Amino acid sequence: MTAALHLCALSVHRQGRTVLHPLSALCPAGAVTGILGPNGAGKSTLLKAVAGLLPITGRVTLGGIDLARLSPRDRARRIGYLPQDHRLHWPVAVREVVRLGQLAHPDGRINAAGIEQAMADTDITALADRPATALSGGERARVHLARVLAGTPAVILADEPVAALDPAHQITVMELLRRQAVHAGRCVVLVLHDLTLAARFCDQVVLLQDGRMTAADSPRQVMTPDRLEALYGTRFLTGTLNGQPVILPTGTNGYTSPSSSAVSCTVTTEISASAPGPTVTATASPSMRAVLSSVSRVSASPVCTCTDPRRA
Amino acid sequence: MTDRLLISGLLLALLLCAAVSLTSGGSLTAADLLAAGLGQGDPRHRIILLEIRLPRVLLAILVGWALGLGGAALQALLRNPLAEPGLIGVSASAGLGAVIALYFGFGTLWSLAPAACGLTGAGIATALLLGLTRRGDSLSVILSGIALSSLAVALTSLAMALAPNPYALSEMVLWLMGSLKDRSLQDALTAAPLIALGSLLVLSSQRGLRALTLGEEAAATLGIRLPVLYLRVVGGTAAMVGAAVTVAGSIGFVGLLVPHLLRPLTGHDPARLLLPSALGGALLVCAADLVVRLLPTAQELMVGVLTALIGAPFFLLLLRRHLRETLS
Repeated sequence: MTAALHLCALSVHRQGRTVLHPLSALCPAGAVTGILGPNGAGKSTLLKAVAGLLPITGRVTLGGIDLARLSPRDRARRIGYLPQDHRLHWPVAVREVVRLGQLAHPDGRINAAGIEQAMADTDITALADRPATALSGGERARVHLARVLAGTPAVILADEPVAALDPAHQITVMELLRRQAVHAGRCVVLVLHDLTLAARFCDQVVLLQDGRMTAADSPRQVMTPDRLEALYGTRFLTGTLNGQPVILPTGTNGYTSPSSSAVSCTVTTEISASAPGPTVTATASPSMRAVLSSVSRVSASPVCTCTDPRRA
Repeated sequence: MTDRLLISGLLLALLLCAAVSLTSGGSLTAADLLAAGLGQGDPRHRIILLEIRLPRVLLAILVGWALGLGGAALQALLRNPLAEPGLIGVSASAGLGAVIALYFGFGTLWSLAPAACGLTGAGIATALLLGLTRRGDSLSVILSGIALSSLAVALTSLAMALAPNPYALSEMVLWLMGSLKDRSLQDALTAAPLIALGSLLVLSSQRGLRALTLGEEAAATLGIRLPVLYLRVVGGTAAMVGAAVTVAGSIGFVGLLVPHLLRPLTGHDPARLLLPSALGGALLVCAADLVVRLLPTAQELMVGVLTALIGAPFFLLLLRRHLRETLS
């Protein structure tokens, strides 16, 4: 699976209005592409257009094959789409929902091992026989992700895949999607609102504003405070924590959370092998220190020390 | 429960019910019926078995099959457990056709005239419905069905209000109540091809109906052509239900109740529910018809009245249990 997704002058018109202006982009296989932008920028529209849910002008090709020329079933085998809405109309068992991911396979062939693997990857094996409608929103989101993975598509399109998840599962799912790209050679395209996750896990990001693509490059190039402020209309602080990028919205007048004094910072980085005990030392960059001091309203030391519960 | 076990059980119960229905009532002995079945014995016994009881049992099975399958298919398509075959307006339109035939007294000229007009009504309604819903979304099916149904019911009421004589009015009312009494093999042969065609269309849509569990958008990304799916299921259901209402009037609650009863036994999978629901519908109508035949009432009860009388309270009980489970 090394086919790249190529959007060539793709645009979407609805009821005489252009909701997505012509854009061209290359989403390489083996890489994660993040689509960022404020509400109503056209992110979901772009994803739906690529998934074949909306009539488009222009072309979308996968490995040189025009997707419009494929039958719906052939297209479904290549493109896995995870919608924002994780609706289920009947209380079907989780395993049956995941099995639906293989519905487009030739002759309805079911790969049971693939289904079990997808459930294991998304940490839902224990829920396999429960009605999917009885699950929490986050659990259901993982069931739908497992459904997409079970289909083993060349392209994974996911609309806000971590929006309903707790922080631990946000990281797990993003790591999983990254593995799908890097190890399985899939082309992964995500709509994200969490800029820190986007900066950390995406190989390239596409910025959308008012239905127009304003930038497409690596996160380091694109996700600068000025550009993000122009995009979202609010200020951001960018920096790194333990070598990982961190991007926080601060509002136009600095950080104004009423409970800011109670906010604490957790270091989730891997601990280096040389660290002897439960104590972890994290070094904050100047901009990160600014964040910490604006959050806690005290000046932050460049070096913070905390206890790693796994080693305590 | 495995599907095979469920289907075998329903099939066995249906065969048993049909056998009881063929052999019950009157003073015919088993030997008389066996002889009549083999083409021997008293010719009157043959008439009773082959021209009175057999068409009735066959029609009960056909009509019940159509209503059960139609109900399960529409509930799956519209993803609404309250959907039933009457929702798409084809039943009411078939009823209107038959009432028009009775209004003008066509029945006296040709015994199959009400059925023919019923089929015409169902056909026109189906064509309109398919035209209105070809875009492939549930809302347009529901709204078009309600509009067609309301129009047909209004026109039926108008025909009844202006009925030329009390006899015609009573014929219309009785016809609309739904009954399998005094039907011939010809009636069964009229309905069978359309019910077979409709069943074929619906049963071959299982993949699409299963995918719709995730909603229309996700189903489309699983390779389902929604407009084609809607045309097949709505067209198939309309053909089946139009034919069923044409020969038996409107028999209520079967299409709503049977899928509800069987859904938990099929893991709530809308595709796995189709065949058991068809067999369950056939069994329910066959059993209800047997009961109305055997009940010692002055005038035979209409089977549609019985299914509604049993179905509605039963449905309320189910609903209560469901609500209790949801709240606990």
